[in-house]
Amino acid sequence: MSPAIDNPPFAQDSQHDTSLERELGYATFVSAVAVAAGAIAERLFAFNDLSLVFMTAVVLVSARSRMGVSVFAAVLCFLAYNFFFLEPRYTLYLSARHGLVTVTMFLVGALICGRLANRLRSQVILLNTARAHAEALRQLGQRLAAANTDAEAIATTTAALGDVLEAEAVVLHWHPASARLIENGRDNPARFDPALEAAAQRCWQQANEGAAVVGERGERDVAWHCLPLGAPGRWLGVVALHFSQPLSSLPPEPARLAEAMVRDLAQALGRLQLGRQLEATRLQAETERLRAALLSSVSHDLRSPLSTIIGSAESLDVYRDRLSADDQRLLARDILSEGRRLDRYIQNLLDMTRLGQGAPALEREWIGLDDIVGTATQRTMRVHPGRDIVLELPAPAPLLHVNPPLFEQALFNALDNAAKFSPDDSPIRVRAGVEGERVRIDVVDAGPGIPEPEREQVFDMFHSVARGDRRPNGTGLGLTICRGILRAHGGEATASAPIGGRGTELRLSLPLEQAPSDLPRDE
Amino acid sequence: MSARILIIDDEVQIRRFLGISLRAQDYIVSEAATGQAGLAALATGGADAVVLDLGLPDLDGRDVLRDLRTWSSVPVIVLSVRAQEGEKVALLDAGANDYLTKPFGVQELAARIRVLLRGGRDADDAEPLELGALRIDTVRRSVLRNGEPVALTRKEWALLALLLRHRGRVLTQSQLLRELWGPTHTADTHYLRILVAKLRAKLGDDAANPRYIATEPGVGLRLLDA
Repeated sequence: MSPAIDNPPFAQDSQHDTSLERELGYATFVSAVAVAAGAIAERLFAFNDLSLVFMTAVVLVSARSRMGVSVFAAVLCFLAYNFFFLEPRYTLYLSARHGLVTVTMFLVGALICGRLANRLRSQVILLNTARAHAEALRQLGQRLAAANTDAEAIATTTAALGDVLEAEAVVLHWHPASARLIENGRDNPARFDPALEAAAQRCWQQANEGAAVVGERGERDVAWHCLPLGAPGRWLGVVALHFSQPLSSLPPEPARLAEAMVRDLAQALGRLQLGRQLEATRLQAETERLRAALLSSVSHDLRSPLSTIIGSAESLDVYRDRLSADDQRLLARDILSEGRRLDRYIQNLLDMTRLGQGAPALEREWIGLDDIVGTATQRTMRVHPGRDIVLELPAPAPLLHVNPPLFEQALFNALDNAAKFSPDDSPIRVRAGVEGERVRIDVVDAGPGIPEPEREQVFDMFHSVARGDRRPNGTGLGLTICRGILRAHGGEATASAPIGGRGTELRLSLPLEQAPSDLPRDE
Repeated sequence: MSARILIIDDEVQIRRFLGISLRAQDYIVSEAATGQAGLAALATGGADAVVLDLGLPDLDGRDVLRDLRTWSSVPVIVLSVRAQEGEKVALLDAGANDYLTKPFGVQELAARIRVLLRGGRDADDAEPLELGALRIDTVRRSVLRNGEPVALTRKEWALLALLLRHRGRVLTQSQLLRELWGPTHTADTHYLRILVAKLRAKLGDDAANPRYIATEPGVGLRLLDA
């Protein structure tokens, strides 16, 4: 429990009457005890000067009550001393000059002692309050530092304000679009409180006009006390406090604490906003970098096949009569193959943008693993005629729940990559199988392999784009798209070295969904 | 007599190479650059097959097809660009007979046109059909594989007969599902996959390297016309 709860910092003000009565009663009681003690001391021990007994009583009272009460105790003791113990007794009349001096000295001494004891007491109270407030602030600071969202920071602060000040705290955000103060996270406020609305609005205006925020003077028992949230010129909103017992104005200590807490909240909100801005800036820079890389890659990868096409076509056009039939056919074939290469590259770019647009929900269908591997293999064979592609598929082949054209593209890209990066006369193996809840399809080639540190990078768009020039037939984006498609299906694409051999093993894995088995009866 | 082919495409280069290559195969070729002109040319001159581009300047390819289908049953082959599987399927379901994805090869187009021109005559072919190791008799509903009879269930036979009737042409999944299981099952793609797998197994076909039934991912099935 927070120490502040044991000793509410301004309880003595709010519970004015009861505590004053109690203190006055205490002072009277102590004075009575002093009279009794004085009588006993006089009879039994023949004490001459009983002023010390009363002085002790005054100090005792002063140490535990406010200034007024200690003055009351001093006067009461003075009168009692005079009445009961100074000659002539049982009158307030003082006979001897000596007695007058003693009594006056006593009153002055009692007042001074009372004052000192009283100051000590209020310092102890202040210290306790300060310690409690500092502790509450420290805890709030810690929690705010850990808050990851605005809502979290606000909830933490309202809870702390509620704990320490025993008040209900409401954070109102300025909403520029509607020019209103809106309670955070509540679009449709469950509670509409005109007093809150009015108090918050007034506080907001005062803050924005640069005036010191003051409560309503002259008006008693204000329900809501408001503090502006933010910094001058950059106000974010208003924090409103509602105390169980209406106060005319916020006492200085709790007001300072509330201000400090609100300031902490404003700082936390500022920090969160800064974080968001930094993240947005970083993302934008990354996008820009990617765009620039893509653009340079596009211009290179589009131009190299185009230069072959233009050159070959022009040769055919201009020198046709001087070319042998074989040369003409060669040029025509180059135009054809480069045109197809261009087409594949453009397809990759299209897929990239398709995947880049936050991958809309895939339209999935059931399709046999053998079916889709077959189509991708056939397409690869058309691009790389004569390549030996060895299929090792499980029988019966499982049904996959995928977007068929996209998944086929992923498989094709994997196969195309294997064909490009391995010798023409080496076979490409496609091994598929079901392992528990996953389907895996391994595309294994006998090429030089990928060095360990680059195995993850080959899927990185920036990487593949940046090194575009060095790749044979540099279309670049193939594996990035392959992984993108697999991930859009909840799967993954990884590269490794095949067990006990050289080359690359590209593993595509996909969560296996159980196909519904409600096929209608068929005799 | 040579077949007449109408090309409706707004790009002059495409019309040119299509015209040159089709004329080289002894077809009579007419050309139109807009949907309206194409419809008019078909109405006045007629054609045995139409090659229709989807991206026309005046009319959407789908509108041309819809208009055309109200008064003509001429075979139509649609040209589309990639990344439009949905569009292709919609057009096939709306009455197009086949599609080609741009860019395409002239030999591919020629093969598709041959299939379309033969189309109608195959349907009432009473003669048993030889297809690879298969001998299919549509009248007696029997299939022989290497001379051995193959026992097909009713649905398997229905699928085979359907593919056979549109031999060489693509059939969309929803067309197949509707024909085989009725209009309420057009989304149950797994029905078709399971049935195809069984039929392939009985015919000795390999999905990974099909000789008879080929899959077109996202579109449908095609019986290969060897």
